[in-house]
Amino acid sequence: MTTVVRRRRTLTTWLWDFFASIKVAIVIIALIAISAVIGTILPQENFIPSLNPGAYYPQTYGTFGEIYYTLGFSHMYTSWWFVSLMLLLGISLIICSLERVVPLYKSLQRQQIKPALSVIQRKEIYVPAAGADETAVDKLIEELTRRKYKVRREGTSFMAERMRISRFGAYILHIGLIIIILGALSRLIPGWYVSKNIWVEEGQTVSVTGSEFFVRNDDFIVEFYDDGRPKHFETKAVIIDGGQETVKQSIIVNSPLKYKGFMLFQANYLPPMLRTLDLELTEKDSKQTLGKFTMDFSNMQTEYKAGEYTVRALDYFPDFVFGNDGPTTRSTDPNNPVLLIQVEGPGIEKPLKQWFFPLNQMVLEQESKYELVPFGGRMVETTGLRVQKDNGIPIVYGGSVVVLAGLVLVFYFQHKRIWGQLHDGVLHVGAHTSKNWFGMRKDMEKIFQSVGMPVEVSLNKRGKK
Amino acid sequence: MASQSKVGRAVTVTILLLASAGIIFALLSFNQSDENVSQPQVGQAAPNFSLTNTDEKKMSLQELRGKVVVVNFWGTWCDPCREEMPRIQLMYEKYKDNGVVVVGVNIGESRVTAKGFADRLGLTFPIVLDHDRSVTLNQYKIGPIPTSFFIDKQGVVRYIYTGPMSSGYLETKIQTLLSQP
Repeated sequence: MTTVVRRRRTLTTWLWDFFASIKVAIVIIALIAISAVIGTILPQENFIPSLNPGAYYPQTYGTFGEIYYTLGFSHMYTSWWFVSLMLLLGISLIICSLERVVPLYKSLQRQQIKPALSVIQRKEIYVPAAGADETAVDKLIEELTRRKYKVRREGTSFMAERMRISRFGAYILHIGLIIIILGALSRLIPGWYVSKNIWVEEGQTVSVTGSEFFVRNDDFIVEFYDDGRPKHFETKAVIIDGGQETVKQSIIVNSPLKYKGFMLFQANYLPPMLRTLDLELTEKDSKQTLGKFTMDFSNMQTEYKAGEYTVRALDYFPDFVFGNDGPTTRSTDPNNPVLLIQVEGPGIEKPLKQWFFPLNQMVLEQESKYELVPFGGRMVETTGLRVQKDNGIPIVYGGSVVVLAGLVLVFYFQHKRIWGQLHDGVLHVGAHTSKNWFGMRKDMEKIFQSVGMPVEVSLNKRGKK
Repeated sequence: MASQSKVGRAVTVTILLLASAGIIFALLSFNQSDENVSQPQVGQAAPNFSLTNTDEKKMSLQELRGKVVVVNFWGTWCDPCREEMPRIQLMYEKYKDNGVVVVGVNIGESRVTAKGFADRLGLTFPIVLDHDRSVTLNQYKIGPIPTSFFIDKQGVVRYIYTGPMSSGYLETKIQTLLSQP
């Protein structure tokens, strides 16, 4: 920490000291952690089944939901203050690192090759090898070089060091963290992040959210276990880009379709639904067919021509139910379609209204002389695909690799330094390491053994375990 | 600790803060463009739409300027919508000659269904069909239905009501808007 006393602190030095403080960094990290936790209490806006969050939160979660929405917790991770906290953490990381890495770098650059003998003698590992001469120094340096030490020599004194970079592991880790933060923020760039469900009916072509291409569902297959649990979903998908069929692939759970940075996952499905019926208009008594037509239940027409006759749809209940105040529909999906129709045509002076139950759900005695008889039709299933795109992922992975490299440097490598000086036939060798003193001792023993000067290396009293 | 000069530190801090401010500003302006399509608020101009009614005629909100307009979003599957319809019809009949129009926006249903419903309930005010739900979802961002927008003679949204309206509520709001220029 900065201990320099300044007569007058300018704004920028105040800011520097603020961000260089570990306490400040810890407070920022704690704030981010608390916010992230609050963000998980209720589902975030992109996961709610409503387009109007302002109405959804109070309605679903009551007053708490309203407060939650008003304070912006419902889109926590994209709110300006959460992003600001992330950026403050980034600044803090950079300044804390600079504050420490620059002095470290400079002090490592300025190391003396030949410190005072007493300095070597006070090293935690210190070996005085008697009966040595200059050739012993040469051999030792040669051996150290073979062991990948960088050796600098000054007469009969030398200094050797290895893995200086491990001292910078923590700062490499910080660089990785900053890359991860930038990768996470990149999701906020328009077009970089998409996560959205789309429904595609069999035979339908639907625009893929956030992209310029379309997906067509050629066939949807679902298989069940005997107990009714789904066993297998599969969408035979075709990607249509610029009017061309570019990819044909089956989308199965855990095997998404990948195209231009987008991934389409099998996520959901709707049960088969009535789409069209081929109908025959017949005269009840004579069983004579008067005409044929096809009725599309997703696009109900007001009238259909059947030969010389017209079938007029007067009312249509896609999901029929008999409510308190008469017939009504539960939804817009044709789960239980019922129609009120009348047949007009030659010889019909006064058309009669009659009910039509396309799926034969009910048999009613009706006055009308005519009936509609289905002779074919089409059921469609609808697949639910999850459209996912995240350009930030490679950046986050890249950052993670850098973090990992930093961690490996911190935990598995040591900065080892060995000094040697020849004084009156005694080779004084001292060693220092950033950690793993036992390993350093073994190293020293091996080095001396290799040059034919076996010694017992022990730690000075002052030395660490 | 003379690790870095004062100037160096000042420059570093300034650059980092400016970069962060830049990132925040950029992100906020990106998000702003997404949020342009939020539900119209009281005091804002009502977004114009043009849809066909149950008689297959084009109708736009624009052409009703100068009248008090109640835009009611509904569906035949929605019980509360059905519940308030007779009251809306009543108020429409009472005030239509004074320059009040009710526009029922049917959400995503077929003409047959909407027309059948209107005939059964004896609704005479215009009902338009938002077949692909774009007006409902993208322009007006409707959540729960029924939702009604009261638009004054200048085309400005003055009241928004979610849920079935009482006759009293309808009448006071219509009278208030009628009494204003």
